[in-house]
Amino acid sequence: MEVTANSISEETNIWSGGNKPLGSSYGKLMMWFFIVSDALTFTGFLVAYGFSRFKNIDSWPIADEVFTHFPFLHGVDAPMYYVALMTFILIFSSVTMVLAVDAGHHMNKAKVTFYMLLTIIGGAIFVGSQAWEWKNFIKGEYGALETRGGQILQFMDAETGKRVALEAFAANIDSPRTTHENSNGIWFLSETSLPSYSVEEVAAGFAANENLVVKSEKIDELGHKIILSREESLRKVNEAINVVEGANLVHNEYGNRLFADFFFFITGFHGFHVFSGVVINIIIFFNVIMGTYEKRGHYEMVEKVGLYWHFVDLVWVFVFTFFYLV
Amino acid sequence: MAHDTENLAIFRGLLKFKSNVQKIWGVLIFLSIVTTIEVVLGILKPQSLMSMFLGMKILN
Repeated sequence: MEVTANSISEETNIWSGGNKPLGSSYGKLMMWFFIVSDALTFTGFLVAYGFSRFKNIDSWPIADEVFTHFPFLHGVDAPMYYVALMTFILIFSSVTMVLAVDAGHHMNKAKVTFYMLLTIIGGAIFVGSQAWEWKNFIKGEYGALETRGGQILQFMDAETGKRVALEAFAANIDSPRTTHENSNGIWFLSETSLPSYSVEEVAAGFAANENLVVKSEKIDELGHKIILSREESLRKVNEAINVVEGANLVHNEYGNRLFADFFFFITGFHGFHVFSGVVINIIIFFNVIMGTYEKRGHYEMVEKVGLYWHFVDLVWVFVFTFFYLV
Repeated sequence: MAHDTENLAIFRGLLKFKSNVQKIWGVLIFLSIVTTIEVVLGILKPQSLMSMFLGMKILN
């Protein structure tokens, strides 16, 4: 296919296909078209995110309090450190990508191979880290209560100011309630697995522990979450109707439920792009090893996948900025 | 190739690189320095940068 495109582009008559818009080859131009349309899709996501966040600005979760995990450091509060690290790894894979493109210009097969390999490894580490972030986000850490109005009530120790997990204080009340399965009940009804604790157990445990207070999802003028007094907390806990552990598209223990929806959609869509990029990089990598581009006389295919890779990297810079940092 | 030797300078000629590869690393090092400063500011969050400007905190 590429060979055909190149033989056509040797035509010098403009109206017979000899025209190269912007001095760019057919393949690169098409990659640019794709990048522009894809950029519009990501723009749509980020603009929708911005609108929703602005509308719920008084109850939006603080990313620093959500993404606090670092591999092998259990219980250590490391806000954003791992996301920053994986961002750096992705940016570094963009550096190795541009080094591969440059080596391609010099027709240096060995260097192109090496830098493509590094790019693939960087991309794979990023996707793996993203999966790990998702795992932590979905699993949750502390658990929370949800009121009828959809507000999330988190728990903290009034003395230490540290968050407290449900398992640390929930009372153990004997209850016959089990997850309903359609095999042993009404066959057309089913439900997702029940949380580890019932609302009554959490409320009883909360009432028994005098030092516990509720951390509301509302934000004060300095940008901190408002912590309720003990009396207000007790009143709020009695309004709760759900126990929430972790996050899905309907409930999340971090606060406003839209937060989780946008997290899943934006980082998921981007992660899908990185995954596709890694797959395409692997294909090109093997083509390089087999000498396809050496025979062709140019490494333009590496440039094209490079364009895509830099674009995906750039999109992450925006996602990182608007979703995690701001 | 002709374009290999063009535009090897950054900051209007303040820094000149000998090759594309050197320029790539040079730009990475420069941006890494900027990033390090920003990360350190983000961790320390100095009081002077937490004041409001145009309705926003100077340092988020």
